[in-house]
Amino acid sequence: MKLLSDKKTLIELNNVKKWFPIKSGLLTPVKNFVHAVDGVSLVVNKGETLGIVGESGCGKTTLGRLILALIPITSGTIMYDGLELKKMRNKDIRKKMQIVFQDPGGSMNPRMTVRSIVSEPLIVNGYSDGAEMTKKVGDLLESVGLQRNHMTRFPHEFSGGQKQRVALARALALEPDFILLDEPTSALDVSVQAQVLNLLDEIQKERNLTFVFITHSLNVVHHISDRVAVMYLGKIVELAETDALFERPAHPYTHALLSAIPEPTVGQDRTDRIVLSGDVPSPADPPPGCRFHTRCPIAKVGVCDVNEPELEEIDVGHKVACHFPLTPGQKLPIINEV
Amino acid sequence: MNCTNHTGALISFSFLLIPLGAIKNSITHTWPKPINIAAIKEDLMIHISKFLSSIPLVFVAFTLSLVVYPDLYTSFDYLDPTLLEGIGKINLTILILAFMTVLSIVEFFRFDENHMSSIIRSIPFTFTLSLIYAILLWTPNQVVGTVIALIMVVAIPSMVLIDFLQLDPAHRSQVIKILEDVRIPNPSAVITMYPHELSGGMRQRVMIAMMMSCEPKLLIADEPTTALDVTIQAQILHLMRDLRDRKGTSIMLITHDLGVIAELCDSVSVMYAGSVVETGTIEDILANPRMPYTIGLLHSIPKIVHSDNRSGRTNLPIIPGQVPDPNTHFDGCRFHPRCPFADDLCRSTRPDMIEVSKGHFASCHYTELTINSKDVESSFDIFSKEFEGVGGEVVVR
Repeated sequence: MKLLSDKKTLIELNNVKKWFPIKSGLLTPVKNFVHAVDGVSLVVNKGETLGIVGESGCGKTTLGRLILALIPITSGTIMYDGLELKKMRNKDIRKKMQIVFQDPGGSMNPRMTVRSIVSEPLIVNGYSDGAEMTKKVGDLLESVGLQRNHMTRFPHEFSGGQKQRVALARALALEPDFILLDEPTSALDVSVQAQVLNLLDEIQKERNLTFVFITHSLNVVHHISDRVAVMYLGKIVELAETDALFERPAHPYTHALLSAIPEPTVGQDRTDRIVLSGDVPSPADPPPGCRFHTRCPIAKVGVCDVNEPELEEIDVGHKVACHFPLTPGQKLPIINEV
Repeated sequence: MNCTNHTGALISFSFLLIPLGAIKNSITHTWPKPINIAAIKEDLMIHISKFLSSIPLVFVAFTLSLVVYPDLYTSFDYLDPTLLEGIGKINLTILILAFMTVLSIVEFFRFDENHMSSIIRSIPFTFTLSLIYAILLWTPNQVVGTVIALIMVVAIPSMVLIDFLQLDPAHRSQVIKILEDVRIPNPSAVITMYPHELSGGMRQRVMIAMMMSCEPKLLIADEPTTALDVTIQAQILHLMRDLRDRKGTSIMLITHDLGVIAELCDSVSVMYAGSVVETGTIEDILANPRMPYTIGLLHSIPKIVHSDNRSGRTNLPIIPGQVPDPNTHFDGCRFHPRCPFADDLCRSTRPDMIEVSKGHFASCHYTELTINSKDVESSFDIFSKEFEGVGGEVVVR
């Protein structure tokens, strides 16, 4: 565990919003907005892995794309190492920040050899193609646990885990400081997932990289992250160091998430399982007040459905957006309807 | 319900195109916006050609010992193959469905009244439905109610119609009741919604409702909760368990998530590279696995362990190497390149399923070495260190 004083900010998000317009036709005005990311403030420290968890549609991938400036921001600011991201040149951003996508097969051109896939970012950035490049690509492949002679192959000749290794080699080619990992292990077999997670860990230690790890798998995020942010409907509801979050969840949603993780063991006690009723509201029409109040077992009428809670620090490094944060040991009422 | 008609319609549907022509007439009479039968036919042709083209690939799946059991459908109670990515789970499903259709045709001609009705009420439904669902659920221009009603018409020939929006109240309430069964709030509003208006969890519920509308004996659920977050997943699993207990439907769950299996299943089959390598009750597999692959798999799942002094991250235990290409030919055990116990016997001879305890089978030559899982886990740890530098290549030794 790193000490708090060691931490230097790499990326700072300040009230970041991304609203996608819903248009009904060519000439008709914008009807409504999908509030994909709605006021996220977040700090990513140098050398850490920040996990972002949340269900599909909660805005975690959109948030990742905003951090990489892949899509324009609606409002708010993103600072990268003290510079505003909007004012940086795209080429500089790509040199410093890279991404590994969920589907390794889909993110590579099937007609390019591994050598041209991995060397492409280097060539775009002015490196000359030649013997030196071959050596560099070979080194990169070796650093991700592949062999030099793999560079003449095509993506389809690899299995899923190996493809993900190639994608990682490509992301590492420009020696970035920051890599966004967007569900890098979701498409992989469980036994191969463990290999890729170990590799990521190793590479991070070697190169002092900063990771933002987007996933919906809580086991994986517990294993890989230093800190975890839980997202719900475009907002961060809880942000804490991994152990604190998993041991002392303060937001009812986090608590329900943790209690719902299916564990591969027999004879487990499932009486403390909290089954949340209802469904996630639409991000185009988020509920007023706290966004979770429609499903929250401890929501209070007149407070939760009126006032929107701010993300407030309840402990050192532990922030939660709830009017009635749970104290350690407090249990949620168990509702066992389907 | 006229049993003979019923059978005839279903069996002919398994020949795919004949009944579509038959229902075409009844549909176009009342359908305000005629659905494109040609497009559905085309889709079906794609399905058939995909199935046919997959046959050479699926030769691996034929080792599935379960497929050769003649009383398959009765022994099928809650069988849940744990299938992994790239190991041919779709192929398995297609195979089982195809097999069951053949089986039902055979039974049909044998004309054993009691036997027949049980199959008719169960298996062909699943077959027809699983083909239909691929085509119709993703028909985004039909409202939910229409899709369910259409499925019911195809599956239950006594129900004639159909434009859902002009449906007579009896049928309408039937559809609403099906949605109520899967605990969809406000079903009368949901039946007029389009699929895109529903959230992921609701779509999965509607999906289950469609499947349950024909009261099948066997429901094949292929990764039903993979796209959902854990809170919704808990709801869906709760619902499936509830339906299973209430309606007596057997569920065959195909998933890579061992946690989900622990939640829902009674017995498990683990598949590796096209063959079942271990099968037994849920307790056998999770608490006392005997095939090295199962042990390594359970070992490599990241576990959430609470500890106060977690000093940095430790390496996850792994199974070295990659899942082999299904086209690779192996003389011996398919798992041998990744197995710490592999020797010449494993390389040359394919292991049989050995009964290690009552009802618990493992396909391994050295089941006596795997009595204590802890030993196997440490063997894996040593073995994966030896594997380093090979670069994740499967080396057929």
